[in-house]
Amino acid sequence: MASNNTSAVLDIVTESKEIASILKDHKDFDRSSICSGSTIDNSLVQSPSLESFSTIQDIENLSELNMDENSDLSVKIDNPQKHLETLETYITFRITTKVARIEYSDNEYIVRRRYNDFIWLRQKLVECHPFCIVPPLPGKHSLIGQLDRYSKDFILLRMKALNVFISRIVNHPILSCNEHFKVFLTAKQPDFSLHRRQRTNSENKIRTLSHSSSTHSALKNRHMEFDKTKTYLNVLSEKLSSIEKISSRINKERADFIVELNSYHPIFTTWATTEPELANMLQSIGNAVERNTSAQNMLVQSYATVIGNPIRDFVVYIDVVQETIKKRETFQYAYENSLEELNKRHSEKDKLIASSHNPSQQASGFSLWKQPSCDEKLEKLGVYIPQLLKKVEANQDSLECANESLRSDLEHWQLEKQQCLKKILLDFVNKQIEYYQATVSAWEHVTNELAPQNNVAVSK
Amino acid sequence: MENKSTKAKKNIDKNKQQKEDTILNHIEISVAESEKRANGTLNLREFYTVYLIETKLTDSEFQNRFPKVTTVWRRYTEFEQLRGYLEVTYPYIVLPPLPEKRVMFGWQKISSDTFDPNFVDRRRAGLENFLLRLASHPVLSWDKHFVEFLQQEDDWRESYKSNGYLQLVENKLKALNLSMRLRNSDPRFDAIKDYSHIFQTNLNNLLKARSRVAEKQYNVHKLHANYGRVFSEWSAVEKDMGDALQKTGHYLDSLASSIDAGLEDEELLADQLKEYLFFANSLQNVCKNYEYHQLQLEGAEDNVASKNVERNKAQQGKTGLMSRLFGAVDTDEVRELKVNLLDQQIQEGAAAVNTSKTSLK
Repeated sequence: MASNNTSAVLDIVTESKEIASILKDHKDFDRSSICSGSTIDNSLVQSPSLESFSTIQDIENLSELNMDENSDLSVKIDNPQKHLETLETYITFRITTKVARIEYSDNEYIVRRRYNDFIWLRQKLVECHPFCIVPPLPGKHSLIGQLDRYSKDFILLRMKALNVFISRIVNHPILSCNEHFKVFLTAKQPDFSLHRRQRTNSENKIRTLSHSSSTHSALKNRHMEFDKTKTYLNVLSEKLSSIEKISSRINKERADFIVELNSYHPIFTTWATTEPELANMLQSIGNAVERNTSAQNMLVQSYATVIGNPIRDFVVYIDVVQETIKKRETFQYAYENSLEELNKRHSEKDKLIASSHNPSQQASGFSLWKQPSCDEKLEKLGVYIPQLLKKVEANQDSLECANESLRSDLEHWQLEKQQCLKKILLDFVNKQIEYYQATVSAWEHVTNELAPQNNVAVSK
Repeated sequence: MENKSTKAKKNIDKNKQQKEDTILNHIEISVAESEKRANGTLNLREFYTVYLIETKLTDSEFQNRFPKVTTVWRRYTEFEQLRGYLEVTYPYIVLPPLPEKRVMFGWQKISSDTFDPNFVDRRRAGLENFLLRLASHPVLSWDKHFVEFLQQEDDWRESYKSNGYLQLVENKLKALNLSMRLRNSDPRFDAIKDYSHIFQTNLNNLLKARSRVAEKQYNVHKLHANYGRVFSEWSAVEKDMGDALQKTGHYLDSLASSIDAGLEDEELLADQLKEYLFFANSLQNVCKNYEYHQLQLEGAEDNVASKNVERNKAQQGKTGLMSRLFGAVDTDEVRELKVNLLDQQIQEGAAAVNTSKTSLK
């Protein structure tokens, strides 16, 4: 267990009598985990019920999470616990970080965070790096079916998804160096709550821009490269959804198949009782069919974890990428707008200058009235246009920046996508292979048993 | 049951030594083709299928008894008629069954249309099996009408009509289908009857379940074909993974179509199981025949007993009905003779049943 390395944390154990008494009853509890985080809030850790998390294995091996043990930063999430407070009940997860970077003062950190903290983290990352593809969080309660918020399965599912989320951030060259991320991983509870409440200026700027995101169709120059990416992502998302639908349909049919098979193999057994000579053969066949059934059962059970959820989660990830691309478009829109306005003002100015040199064109009595306003206008324009110019330049810069960062992040994401999809497909295939192997061996068993019998029968 | 099987083995060995002759040793029979024909006028056409029966003489010694080569077209109903005749003539023999009249245990892929080419072909094979089994039976194969069936198309039809077999068969069927209560029934026949019922139930369940399982299996495999399309479309937009995805799509397509061959083979196996299912029926028929005879026997015994009582009563002095008594006594004696004769016949029949039963096993 990690207890040896967390001796530093163990020494900080505060003596809260209620918790100590609860602990005495449950020997398999990891003392360090309970004492390290939960008492700081002064919240009561609920004593484990029958359906509790104490039986969940702590993640020992990082390879479970497909993480590289030799990298300079590795984070794992495990050991969920329920907390009871006066106003609410919630679940926290233990986050263990092992890091070898300069910015981090220590080598190892253990903190406890709840789901809302993750939401805060993601929000901050999006604000600080608007054109990075920030991975999506697992859904809130309503998205994961009718599972009870505190049910073991739901919590486990969420924990797994949070691990994926964190590992994606860890592997991201830019996001993993984010200040807020560091705070998230290292700060103890009171510091963390303090940090959360801070508000920075940058929030407001990004917010205003994002509201005008609906008019990307008005873009003058559609960016070829990003458009291609968008179409590609659409196709990918569609194909993945189709695959998921097909898989779930097949799964349903298989479940029906299993029902039929279950009534199939007893028939062999019944028949075997009335046939003295054929009894063995019939029994073997019945057994083989039964083994087939259980192998299929395993296949059906594994569907959600191997295919259903991973594909759906990845499709959500694709959606995030699409959103990021859309954000970039708002920048382009702003830039083009400002450019357009600049050109308009330029042409206005030119027009005014032209008309001021031809006073004969003003034939009406309003000419006197117009003259001073013309000059006024020119003056105003004289000030306004350089301002606009600056704005255009600034927009152009930020657009270029956005393009660049998005481009590089997309490259990074493509690699990630490849790995992720490959893993999903390989898992799927391996499960199928397992099933077919089990079936083949069951039937081979039968033929092996029958072969010597057959020879005997023939010689009769 | 075990005694029977050892006895059966002995009999089979005896047969091998005796080499009981069947016509299959001398001629070859095959049901080679099928053809769709129509009766009636253009508007009211009734379709039916005929099957070609070919026989070839393989043993030149029998040249005088059998023609060298014959071809005869028969339809399913004629096969049924032949079998009906055999049932009436040899009530003690377990007859081989005909292939099913209507599609039984059908499912999605097996259409219930009796003109479906697959069904016609499977029926053709079943009919060939039927004829071969008949021809390899030491008693049945020498039946005149059977040989006529194989070799003379129209003559057989004539002789069938002229002998009124249709009527005979129908009457027999009616008689056998009455429920019969026996006082003393042979425990061997009871055992056979019970076994055949159990056997029938088991096979029925098996075949039903098998066809349901086959259907589900078929569905699961066919659904995989949908993958093929999606993976191909996906591979078109992927640079690096494109090839692999393409291959995956192809493989899943072939998975979907691989199930067809397997299920077709399974269908043929199911046919063989069905044959034994119908054999159970034949077994039951023989038992019924036995019961029928036994019933007759018991009825006759009852008759004899009651007549005896009458006779005794008469002899004990009911002088007022002398003429009747005389008549009764006479008829009585004649009856007794008849009853004895019947008794003998029944016992002969029962003995024949027993020997042919064991020889068939």
